[in-house]
Amino acid sequence: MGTAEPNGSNRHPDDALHGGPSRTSALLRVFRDPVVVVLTVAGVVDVATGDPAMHGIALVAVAAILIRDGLARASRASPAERPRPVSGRRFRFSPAVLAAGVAYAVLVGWFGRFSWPLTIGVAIPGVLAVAIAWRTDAAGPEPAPLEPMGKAAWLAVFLALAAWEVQALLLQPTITTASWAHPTLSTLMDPILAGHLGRSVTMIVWLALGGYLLELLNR
Amino acid sequence: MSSHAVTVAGFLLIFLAGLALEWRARRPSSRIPTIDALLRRAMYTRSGRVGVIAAWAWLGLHFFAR
Repeated sequence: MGTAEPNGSNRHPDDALHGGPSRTSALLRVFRDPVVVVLTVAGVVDVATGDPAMHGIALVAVAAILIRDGLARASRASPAERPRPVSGRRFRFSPAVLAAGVAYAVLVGWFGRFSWPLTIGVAIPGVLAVAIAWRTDAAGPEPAPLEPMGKAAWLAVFLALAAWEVQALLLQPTITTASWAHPTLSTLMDPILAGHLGRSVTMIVWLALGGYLLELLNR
Repeated sequence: MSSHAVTVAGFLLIFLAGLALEWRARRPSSRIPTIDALLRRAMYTRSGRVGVIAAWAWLGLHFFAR
């Protein structure tokens, strides 16, 4: 849908990633997109560490879709020909949405962990949210560039978390055997997620986080 | 101190560091972005939006799904 951009320019933010002086450089940018790289690596590592294959495949599939979208954008001659995300229906928190989310979490939390009903109960909001993120354009003006020092500070926290999780993983008896002596975050969550109450509360937190992320697209 | 306690303490320390950074970011004229600003910047492009939401969806799969 060729609507006016929120920031008032004809240049779409995704064109900065996929457009460029030549098609070759645009293709290179698609494959070097950090999101594509991170999703692919995370998917492969996830399967290698013993998670069900479907989890890793889901991440790699999203990376593949992003590559396909990037290649489609790059193959179009000018930014004007490139399809725009639809900025139609947006996710918004409301009392009804909150009540529905809590009811959904209580219902789905009733199912046993790693059961098919719970898997479907998680997959439905997950797929819906990815679809909304795909179709929804950023609403507000382009955010100001972040200060390098500020980015570095947050990167340090995220890298520290990743490194601590990896050291706990590597200190397990095997990479696929959980250890209470060197617990990963997943192992620490196991007792909480063993019961209905813990699953439902965690599901509420997870759904709220997803709602918050989708709400960010409205600002 | 057991290795379990050390590992948990490490996670708590990193979590507190994140909270401290967010608190610092919310002070006037801070050069550190809030987590909100960081995510909005990351989610300005389609790949950023889809990547962040896919990571969230994966968390749900990881903790609940088979």
